[in-house]
Amino acid sequence: MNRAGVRAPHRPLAGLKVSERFGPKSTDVGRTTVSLAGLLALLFGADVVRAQDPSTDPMKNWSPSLPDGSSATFTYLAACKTFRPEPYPAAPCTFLLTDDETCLEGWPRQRVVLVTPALDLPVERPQSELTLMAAAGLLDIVGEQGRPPLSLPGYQVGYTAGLAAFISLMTMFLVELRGGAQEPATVGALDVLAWTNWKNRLANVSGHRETGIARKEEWFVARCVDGYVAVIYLDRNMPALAELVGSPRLSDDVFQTIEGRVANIRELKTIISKALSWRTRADVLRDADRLGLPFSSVLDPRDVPSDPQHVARRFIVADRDLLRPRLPLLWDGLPLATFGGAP
Amino acid sequence: VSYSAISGFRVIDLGIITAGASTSALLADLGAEVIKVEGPGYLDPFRSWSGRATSSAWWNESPQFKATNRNKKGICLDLKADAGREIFLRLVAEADVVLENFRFGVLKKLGIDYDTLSRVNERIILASISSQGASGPLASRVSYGSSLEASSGLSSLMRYPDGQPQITGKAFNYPDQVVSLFAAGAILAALVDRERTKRGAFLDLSQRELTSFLIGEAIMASGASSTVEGRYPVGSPAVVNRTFLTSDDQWVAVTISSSAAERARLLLSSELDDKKVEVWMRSRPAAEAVRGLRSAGVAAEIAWRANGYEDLDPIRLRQSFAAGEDGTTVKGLPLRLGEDDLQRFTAAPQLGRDNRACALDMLGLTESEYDSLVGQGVFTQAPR
Repeated sequence: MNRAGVRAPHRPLAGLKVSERFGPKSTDVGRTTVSLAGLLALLFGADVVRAQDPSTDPMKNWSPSLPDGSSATFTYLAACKTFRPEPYPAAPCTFLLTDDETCLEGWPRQRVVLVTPALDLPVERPQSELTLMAAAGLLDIVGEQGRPPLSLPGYQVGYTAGLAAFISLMTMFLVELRGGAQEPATVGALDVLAWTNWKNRLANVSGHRETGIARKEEWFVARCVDGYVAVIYLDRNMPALAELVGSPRLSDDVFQTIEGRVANIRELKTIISKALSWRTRADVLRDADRLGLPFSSVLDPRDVPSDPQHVARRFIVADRDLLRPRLPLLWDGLPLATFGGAP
Repeated sequence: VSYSAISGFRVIDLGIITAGASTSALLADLGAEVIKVEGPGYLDPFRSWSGRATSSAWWNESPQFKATNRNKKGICLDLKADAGREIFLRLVAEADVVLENFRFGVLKKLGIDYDTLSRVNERIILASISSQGASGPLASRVSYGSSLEASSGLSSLMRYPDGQPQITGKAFNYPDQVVSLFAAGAILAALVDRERTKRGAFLDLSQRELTSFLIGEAIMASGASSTVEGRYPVGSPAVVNRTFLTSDDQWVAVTISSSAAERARLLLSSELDDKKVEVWMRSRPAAEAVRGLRSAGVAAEIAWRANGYEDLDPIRLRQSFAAGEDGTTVKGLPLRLGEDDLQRFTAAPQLGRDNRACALDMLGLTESEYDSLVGQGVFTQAPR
């Protein structure tokens, strides 16, 4: 059990030692990427150290805040790890996660996952979560025409790149265990983001020409009397959708194909929105479920811990007096690690 | 250049659309042998995602399928037939990983659930990717990426200050993209574990849980005090962090960190409030604004529009996308091993392309046994 009270019934990565290290050239996106990859390693059972004095960790100033004013982001990503001045020394089963090449001294490059803002952009070109989303085309997906585009919230750029950094780390460790020839790994946050945005890249050849914020998107969020629901459906759901909103008009041929719906998108959304606006979320979702419609309630983060699905799977666990998500995976039906037990 | 880091591992791929098929694609790129298994009654829906092509073999034409399933082998096997199920289990006996993202209960119905698979191969790793996880009251509920953005809490954080929650919709479906990255990492962790314990595992991966995990700091903050209100932050603190419109009507993302603030003030000849920056940006074209801001150490990028995405400098994103064998654009590998990019992408399999090789070379069937199975419709190269 470590300082944060992490118990791991099974530790697939037991014996793996991972150091997170930052230097003068570290970036905030790089810190997030390294921190997420390290968090995954920790939750899979590795020993993870953050080679830093915690009092000087800039992440301690990152939003959002906990009631005591401390950073929830720092608590989520870093406080569960062991802090010490120096990383583990380079050795078998030991790897370094860093975003600053000046931290590589003493480390064979094939034991390092190096994170960069972008694989093929000059490192001196400054980047942020927001600018990397812009460069990857992610700021033309959500929003309203004529208003500033909306971005993915929080730290999704660093988190997404962190998932790729974890793949790199696992690949290197697996190669070592099998006695293979190890190679250095490099992850570019922009490249990972652009990879996730592949549908827009293919839009011009795939027939999905409705792209960008101005596109006529069928799926949307509708208001109910007590919150919002996500209105999601496919062609085959149209009879059910017509029944749910009580509109014979939606049974017309024109609404049975995506082309017809897109051509009449304003009318379609108006019919659905009006029909849902006077009902409660529970009422709408009960009917949607009965009719096989893949609607979903829009939850606030504060509602997530009490959601029945999460409760049943013990997804939210206690970390001292706070609640946090466990690793989003069950291994042979069980969580790998918990932070001190169920809330 | 092709990668061989995890060569020697065999993955039986029942993954479809993005979440499953993209996970196995990542493993294929890293060097695993991936055998995609489809059935004559159930093709990967990506084979007709934009509607059926006009050619007679429409199932082999889809850009989405080709982009996602390159570097794989492919067989078309009727799992509903006893002989097909038997062939499948023989494949599993010689495999390391089975991966699937069918609806909850489908594997059991087909008689190939984890208990069955582990009986024929106790070292097999089964990775099940689902919307809600394989247990709980909503396990059987059908969801799509944007449903999960809503139910994970992510949508609530993605809104205008005066507006309602938003979803990314069919254009992106964020949870589908990220789950394949997480699932590939989890499968590799399971292979690490198996290397040492000699035991297989059943990995139950929930896309909804992953999406909530990726706003974990918001859940921690809101659970403690309900302080997650108003505009949710995007990235670390900055003096200015938003998008601005330029004189040529382009949106430009600008982040002025505290370390760049002084030089930015000199450049703009003003204090750094949003209004002043807005005026400065609106008075010049995007390229000029970006050039000036970067010279002052400010992070600035033009927000590339979806319909201009193909104009992005291909060198900048050569690891994200590549040209497939037939020249079509395919997904790349979002990381680099060694000094060279992964550049070799074999074409996605036409339906049943590798039936014969699988039957004869992997399973050791005779020509006549294979021909008999083809005659029975167990191995096919066209949908029913």
